[in-house]
Amino acid sequence: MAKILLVEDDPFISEIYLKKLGSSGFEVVSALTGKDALRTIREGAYDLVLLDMVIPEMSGMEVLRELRTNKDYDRTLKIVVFSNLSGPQERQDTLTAGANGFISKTDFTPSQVVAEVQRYLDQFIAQAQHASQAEPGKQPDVAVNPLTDTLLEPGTEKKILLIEDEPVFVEMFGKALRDAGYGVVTERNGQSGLERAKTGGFDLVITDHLLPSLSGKEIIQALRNDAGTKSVPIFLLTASLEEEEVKALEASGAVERSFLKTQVTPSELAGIVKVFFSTEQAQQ
Amino acid sequence: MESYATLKPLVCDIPAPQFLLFNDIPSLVYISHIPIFIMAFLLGLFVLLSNWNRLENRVFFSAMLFFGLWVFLDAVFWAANRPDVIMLVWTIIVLIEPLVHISLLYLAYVLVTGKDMPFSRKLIVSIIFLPQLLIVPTTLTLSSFDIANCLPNEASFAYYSYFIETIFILWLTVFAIVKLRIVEDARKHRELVYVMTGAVVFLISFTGGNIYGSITDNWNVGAMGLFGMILLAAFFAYSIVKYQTFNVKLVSTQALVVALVLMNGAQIFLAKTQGNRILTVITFFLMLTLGVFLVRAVRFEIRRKEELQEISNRLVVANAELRRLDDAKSEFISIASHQLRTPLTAIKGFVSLLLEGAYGKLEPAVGDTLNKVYLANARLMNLVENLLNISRIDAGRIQYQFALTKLEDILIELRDIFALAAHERKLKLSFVLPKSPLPLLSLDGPKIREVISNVIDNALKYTEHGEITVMAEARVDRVIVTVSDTGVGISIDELPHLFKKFERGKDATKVNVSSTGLGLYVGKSFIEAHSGTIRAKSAGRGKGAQFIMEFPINRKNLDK
Repeated sequence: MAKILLVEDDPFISEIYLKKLGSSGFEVVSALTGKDALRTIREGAYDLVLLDMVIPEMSGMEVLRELRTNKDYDRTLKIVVFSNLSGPQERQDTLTAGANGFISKTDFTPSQVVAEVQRYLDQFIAQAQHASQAEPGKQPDVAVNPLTDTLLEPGTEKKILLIEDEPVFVEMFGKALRDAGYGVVTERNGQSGLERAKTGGFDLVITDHLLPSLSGKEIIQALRNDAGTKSVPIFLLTASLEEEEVKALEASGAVERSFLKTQVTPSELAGIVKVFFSTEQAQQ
Repeated sequence: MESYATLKPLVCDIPAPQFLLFNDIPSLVYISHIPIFIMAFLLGLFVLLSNWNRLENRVFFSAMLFFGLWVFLDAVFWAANRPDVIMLVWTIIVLIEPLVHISLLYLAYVLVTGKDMPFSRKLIVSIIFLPQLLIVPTTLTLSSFDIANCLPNEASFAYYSYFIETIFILWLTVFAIVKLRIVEDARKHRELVYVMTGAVVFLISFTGGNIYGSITDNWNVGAMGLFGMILLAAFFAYSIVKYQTFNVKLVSTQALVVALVLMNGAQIFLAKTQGNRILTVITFFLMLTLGVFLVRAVRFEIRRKEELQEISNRLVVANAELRRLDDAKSEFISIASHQLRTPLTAIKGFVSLLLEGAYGKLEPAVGDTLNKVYLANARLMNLVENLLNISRIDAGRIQYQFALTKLEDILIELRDIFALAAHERKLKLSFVLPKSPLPLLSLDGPKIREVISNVIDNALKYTEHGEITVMAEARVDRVIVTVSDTGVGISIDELPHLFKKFERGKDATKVNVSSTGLGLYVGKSFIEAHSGTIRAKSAGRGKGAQFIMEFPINRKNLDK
C-alpha cells in the first residue's frame, strides 16, 4: 500500500482527495502549509508527495527547491506537482526544480486523479527497475531483435509463449516481458501458435483472440483438450469487440486472466505476470 | 317482298315471327336463345374492351362472337317459317359452328403457353376445317327441305362438322391435361383448370346437343346444349374474378351486378303479358344504371386501395434501404473504431514504456512532454471507445446487467465526484434526497451512473453562475431524478434535437469545446433499455435547464 502526502491548503479540496485516495486503497496524510509539508516529510517515509503550488507560509516552488537542495531530504523522494497552474512555463520550472511529474487539477476528476497517481507510482517502480538493470553495465536486450525469439536457456527463467499477429503488439508486450526477465517466444498466427504451445515447456501462454487461421478461443479449447497442455496457464489478450465470447471463456475457467489491450500497458501486463508466477509458486 | 307475297311462297305451319323474333307461343328452349346470345356477346365484348391489346382477349372475343352469331341465327331458324330463310340460316350455322371450337382451342394455346399458337398447329386446324368450307355451300350438307317438320334434310356430309368438332374437343382436352401437368405455379395451374374445364364442358354440351338434335330431329332437346354457355360464363367469370384471367380486374361486385342484370334481362323474354314486360324493362334499366354506379364506386375504391398499397410498398422498400444504410454505417464505425484502436493502443504502450525508462532514462522535459502525449492519446482512445459504444447501441449489441440497486448510493458517489468541480467553478451543487429511502430499482448500476454523471457534468459545463440541484423523489410507480441548473438553457428549436446522435446545444462550443454530442444520445439509449425516460425542459435561452429522468419501479421484481 503506497503512502502519499497530500499538500493542499483548501480544506474542502483536501478533504475530497483524502477521501477519494483513501477509498482507493492509499494511505494518505495531509499537510496544509509549506512548512507543515516539510516537517511531515522529515518525520516519515512517503512513496509520493502531491504538492500544490499555491500554499501559505512557503510556496510550492519553495518547498520543492528545499526538498531537492537540502541534503536532509531523500533525493529520490517522488514529487508530483498537483496544481491549477499548468502553463508550459510553470511546468518547465517545476521540472527544472526537480519535480517527477505534474497533474493538472482542472483537467481531471477526482477519480482520474487517483488513476493518474496510480500510473505515476507504477511508472516510478518500473523506472527504478530499469535503472537497476542498467546499472551493472551491459543491457541484455541490446542485441535482441524484438520480433524474434529470445533464446531459451533451460531451467532458469520462466518461459512465455506470446501469440499475437500485430507486429507492434508483439514488440511492445514482448519488450516489457523480456525486460521483466522472462523468456518470450512469439508466434504470429493461430495455427503455428497452437503447434508451438503443444511442443510444451512454457510456463504461460498469452494469446490474442482475433488471429489468422485459428481464433484464441479455438487455441484455448485445443490446449485444454490436450493432455500435455491441459494445465498450462493461459492469459487472453483481446480487443473488446469479441466481448461476449471472451466473457464466456473467462466464466468457463478456461483462461486464468483476460485483458483488454487498450486498457493494459505493457509493464502492467508484465507486473501481473510477475504477481501470477509468485502466487503460483507460493501455492506449490 | 311484294313478289314473295304474290307468289304465296311455301311456309311452314307455324306463326310468323314478330317483336324481336317472337312467335306467339314462347318455348323455353327458344326464348333461352336471347339471354344466352346477350350473355356471350357481353362477356366477349367485356373481355375484349378491358384489354384490347392482348391476343387471348381477342381470341376469346372471337369465340364469343362466333357463338353469339350462331345463337342469333339459331333463334332466327326457330322463329322463321319460310324454308328459304331456314335453309340460308342453317347453312351459315353449320359453317360457323366449328369456328367456336377452333377459337377456344386457339385460346387454350395462348393461355397455357403465353404465346401465339404455332404455325404448324394453325395449318393442321386449317386443313381440318377446309373441307367444311368447301362442302357447306353444296347439297352434300343439306339435300332438301322437309316442310312437314319445318326442317331441312341433312345429307351425309352434314356430319363432317360434328366429326371435326369432336376432333377439336379431344385435341383441346388432351392438350389441357398434358400441359396443365407441367405448370409449376400453383395459382396459374388452378386458374387454367377453371378456364379449361369451362371451355371443354361448354363445347361438349354445345356439340352434344347439336348431334342429338341432328340424329333425333328433336331440336327442343338439342337446343338444351346451349345452356353450356352458362357453365362457361360461370367458370370464366370465377377465373376472371379470382385470378385476373385476361388481365381483367373484375371484382365480385361487378360479376354479381352483371349476373343480376342478365337474369333480370332474361325475364323480359319470359314475361307473359305486355304490362309485365314493360315493368321488367323498367326494372332492367334501373338495375343497369344503379349497377353501373355501384361498379364505378367499387372500382374507385379499389383503385385507391391499390394506390395506397403501392405507396406503402414503396415505403417498405425505402425503409428497408434506410435500415440497411444505417447498419452499414454502424458497421463502418465499428470497423473503423477497431482499426483506430490498434495504433492508439500501440502509442499508449510504447509511450508508457518510454516513460518508465524501458528505453533509457529520460530528460525531465522529455518525460513531461511524453506524459502529455500519453494523456492526449488516452483522450483519443476514450473518444474512439465512445464511438464504438454508439455503434454497439445502434446494432443492439449492448449488454445490460440488471441488479437491484440503491439509487442513493449512485447519487452520493456522484456528489463526491462533482463537489470539487462545482467548488472550483464557484457553483452551488446540492443533492436533495428524500427522507425515507428510495425503493430499490432494477438497474445496470454503472450505466445509469454514467448517464446521471453525464447530465450533471453537462449542467456544470453549461452553467456560469448560480447553482445545480440534483433531486430524487419516489412516486407510486417510478423514481424521478431531476437535475436543474441556472445555466445557458436550451432554446425551443434545440429541445427536440437534444437526444439525437452528434447533436449538442448551440452554445456548447462557446462554453466547452470538448463535448462530442454523444453523451445524451447514449444516455437516452441506456435509460430506455431500463424502460425509463429522459427529457429536457427549459424556459429558453439563459433561463437554465432541467433534465428529468424517470425509472419505473418494478414491484413484481422487488417482491421476489
